[in-house]
Amino acid sequence: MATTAEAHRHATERNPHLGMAFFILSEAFLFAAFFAAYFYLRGISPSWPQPPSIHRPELPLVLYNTAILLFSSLTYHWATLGIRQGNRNRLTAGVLVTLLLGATFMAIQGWEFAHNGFSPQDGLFGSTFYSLVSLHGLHVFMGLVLLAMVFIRSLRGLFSQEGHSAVEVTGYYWHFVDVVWLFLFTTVYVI
Amino acid sequence: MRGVSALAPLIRAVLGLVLGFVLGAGVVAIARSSLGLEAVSELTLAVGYTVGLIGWLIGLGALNYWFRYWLGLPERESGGHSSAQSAPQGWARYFRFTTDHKVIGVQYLVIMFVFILLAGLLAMLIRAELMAPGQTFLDRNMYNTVMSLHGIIMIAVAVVAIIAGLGNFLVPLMIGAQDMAFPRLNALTFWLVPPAALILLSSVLVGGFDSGWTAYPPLSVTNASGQLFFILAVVTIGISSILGAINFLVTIFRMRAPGMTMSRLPIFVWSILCAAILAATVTQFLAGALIMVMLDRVLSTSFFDSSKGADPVLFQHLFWFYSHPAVYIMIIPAFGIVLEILPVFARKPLFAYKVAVGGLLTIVGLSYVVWAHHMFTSGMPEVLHGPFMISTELISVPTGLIFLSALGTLWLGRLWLVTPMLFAMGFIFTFLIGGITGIFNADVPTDVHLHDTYFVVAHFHYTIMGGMLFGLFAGVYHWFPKITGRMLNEGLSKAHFWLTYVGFNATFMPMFWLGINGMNRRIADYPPQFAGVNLFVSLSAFLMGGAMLLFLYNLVYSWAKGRRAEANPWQALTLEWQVSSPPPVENFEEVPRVASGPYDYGVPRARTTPRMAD
Amino acid sequence: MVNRKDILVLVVVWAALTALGIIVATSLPIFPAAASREAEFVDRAFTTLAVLAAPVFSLVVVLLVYSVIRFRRKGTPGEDGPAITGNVPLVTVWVMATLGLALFVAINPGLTGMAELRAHREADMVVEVRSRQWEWEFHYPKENIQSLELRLPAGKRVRFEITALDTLHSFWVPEFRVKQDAVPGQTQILFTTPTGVGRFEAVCAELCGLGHTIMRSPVIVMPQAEFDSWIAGKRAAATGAISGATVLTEPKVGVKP
Repeated sequence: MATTAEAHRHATERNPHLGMAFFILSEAFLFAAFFAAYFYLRGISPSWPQPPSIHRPELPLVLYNTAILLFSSLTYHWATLGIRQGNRNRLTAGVLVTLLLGATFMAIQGWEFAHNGFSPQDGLFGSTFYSLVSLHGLHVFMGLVLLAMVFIRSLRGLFSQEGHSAVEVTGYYWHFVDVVWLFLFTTVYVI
Repeated sequence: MRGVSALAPLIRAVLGLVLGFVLGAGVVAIARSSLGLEAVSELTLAVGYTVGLIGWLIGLGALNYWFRYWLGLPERESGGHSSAQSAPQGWARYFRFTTDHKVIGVQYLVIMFVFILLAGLLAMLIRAELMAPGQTFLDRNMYNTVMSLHGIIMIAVAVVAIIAGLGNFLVPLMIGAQDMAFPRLNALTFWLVPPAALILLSSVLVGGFDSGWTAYPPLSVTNASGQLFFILAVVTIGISSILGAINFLVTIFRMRAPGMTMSRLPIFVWSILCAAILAATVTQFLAGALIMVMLDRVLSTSFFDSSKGADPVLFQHLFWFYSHPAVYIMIIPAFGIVLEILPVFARKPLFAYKVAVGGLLTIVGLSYVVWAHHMFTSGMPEVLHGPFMISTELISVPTGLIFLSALGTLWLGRLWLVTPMLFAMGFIFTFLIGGITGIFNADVPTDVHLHDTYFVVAHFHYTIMGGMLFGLFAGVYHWFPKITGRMLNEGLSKAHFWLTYVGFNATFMPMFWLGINGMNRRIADYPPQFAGVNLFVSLSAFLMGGAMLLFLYNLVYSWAKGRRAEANPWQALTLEWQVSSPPPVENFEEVPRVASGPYDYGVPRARTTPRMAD
Repeated sequence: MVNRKDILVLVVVWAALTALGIIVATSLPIFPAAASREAEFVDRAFTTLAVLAAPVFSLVVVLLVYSVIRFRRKGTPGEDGPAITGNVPLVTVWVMATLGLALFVAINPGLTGMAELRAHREADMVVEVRSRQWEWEFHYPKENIQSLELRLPAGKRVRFEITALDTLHSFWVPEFRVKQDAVPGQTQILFTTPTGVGRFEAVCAELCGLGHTIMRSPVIVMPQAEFDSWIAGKRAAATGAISGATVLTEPKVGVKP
């Protein structure tokens, strides 16, 4: 007859996976609120962007940045496949590359903020653009913190083929950040 | 001294709060001065609070485990999940970062009770002011702040108290688990509450806020800085709520004992599950809406500024998308408590258990699509009126199933009329009135008259106070022996019930009449024709307030000196009653094996250990 | 077991309580004066709901009270009750009945009442309501006067064009029943036909800051002839001397139908 403590430890192994799934669901709702504001304000405006003096940021730079973020999901997936086969070096290398790509994404986004010619004070487009992109940026930053954790623990050899829950769970989060970006990028830069 | 060392983590937490605030505010103040802006601004305070909050958590030791995990350092036994030997015993546990769900449940119940008393006192002030026409002792500014604070504190209690208080204590026990899925996260959610309370109450120092608990712009964008503090406090509680909800969801899905299938889950656990689904999702819309108000205030964005082409009504959509499901977050756990109590004291199975569960789940689904019934006069497109009216009327159907289950349980039962049962049955009457009057608000032709009047005030007090609060009282009376190991004084309990019940109905029933006859909401004064009724209402409210003090006395005295409780004084069948009162630290010596549902009253079975196989 | 006497008593008491409820709902004078065409059908809608609520309320109360009286046991019950877990026919009937009632109420007085409120969107006169912290200002564009009091001729359909100059307000005359929020940057439209001569008040039905309590203006409905002479008097005063009413900015527009 299993003691309660042992049963508890066994049951808890996959809890973080479900926990992260619910967390992602919850954060999706947070983004939804800001997307709702964007579409509502755009819907009531006679033209977009509002005020008309704003020029929406040029596409090529954002397309490259999107590619960088998407590629970072690939590198993380590659790293995860590695540890599923017990390959610790692949994990470490893959996570490091992902981390650097994510940081590059943020740096480029920051540069774009400084050079796109409008600010959060600039009416409806300024408010919705900056709030959505910054909210995403905040989530990328939190992702970098998680990636750093995986990197450090990987360096210390704490992951194995049987035990790498944190790698998978961080992966869910990082891919979520990526998917949100696809919606976000399409919404504020393209359509 | 032992006392001081026991409080050391709390002292460190306060230090962390202060240092964090100074650091955060200082950096912003210096940056602003160097840019030629005034140093102290709302941005300064907002950043100061955020860093202060992190400092508070660090000082408390709440982040130690995760910080060590992040660095890949080995786990420290004492910093992790508390084991029976290493965790501090006695009252010190309640003043530090303790991961035992039973401690956290009690922490929440106590702090929520303090808030009820505080907000109740504010209500007494409101009723004292409204006893007679003309300004009595609160000027209009103070009145608006008192009224707004009463509202938001009670709302916070309503969404948190049952779930985080009783839910935390009971859910792991009821499902046969040792603790919640994420015990450290659980403790963290509690410790977010004191700083939120602090900043909310500090709002009076910076001008208060006069926008009610609903914070509609443009008023909430242009009013005093107390509004910022309100936003920071509510967002903090929202974060706590969301994290807590996720914890409950994972716990209920994954930590049930063998044999505890979803169809054998106690209805209270189902109700927590349902509330958690709502809390984890829609709370984000409240956060979003309030953050947008904060951005409009602090960074001069224009989410709601009509001079820039925006629309204040956008806020109302975002706000009510949360706030309507929020009332189901409030009431569904109360339904759970009442439906949990009735079988025990009617000695009968819960009538139509699966139908009741279906009702709860249907309410959850429908609650996402009814929000704009708060906005029929807001100027939103008329084409929305009909659909939202219909969806709102429909939500009365699954709610009716809860009544069916309750009444069916009572019918042909063997009724044991102790105080938990009295509150549970009283709930049926008061929530009935609340629910029926909801129909009057949901129907557009009547709502155009009743909206923003005392009719609405009466309606939501009948549902939230006559529903959620009476449910909470019922739950406290029912589970007090389990939590504290002592019995409450039944005479005092019954007195509390009757005084509260009579006082409550006398206070709020006349408000329906006031609203129909033209008394609008949130006013500090009224025309003379309403004087007599308002005086009657105020006196009845004072009676209710007195009853609360009686309750407080009963709770404190009984906890200290009440008759010792046996493991199962109510002879109930759910798992929490099969362990001692209070339960042992690890809850169950061995993993329970569940062989039947939780309501097998009237079914022949062994009386000694009804649900645990050997 | 359920015996016939129980059911009989239940039905009789329920019917009696319902009848009492319906009598109270249809005859108790709880409304303020009905001074507009809209008031008549709002009050009718209210009464319909109250009448429909009576049997529902009575059913629950009767079952609850009867159970307490009939099934209570003194002290700790020695034995359990019957192990009844459900009753499919009962649940089915209950769901059908509540669903039917909910849909019925949504249609009548719900949709029918909404239709009545939206009927006749042509007006005999227009009054612009400009709300601000913390008073109402009424502009009569055709008559070219403005006033801090709302005066209306009985029997004429009014189109209110409502806006706010600073924060949200909400224009409501309880005796007219209908209300409409005032939103900065928008013009909201409200139609009503005052029918009752008398003196009422317009109150603010949306929290608007410190002065929300005092934001009340007189509303006087009078015979047409009196109204005409009031207009004439106002005009004369306006051309003769500087009007006492304060100067207003033009409301920023977007007219909402």
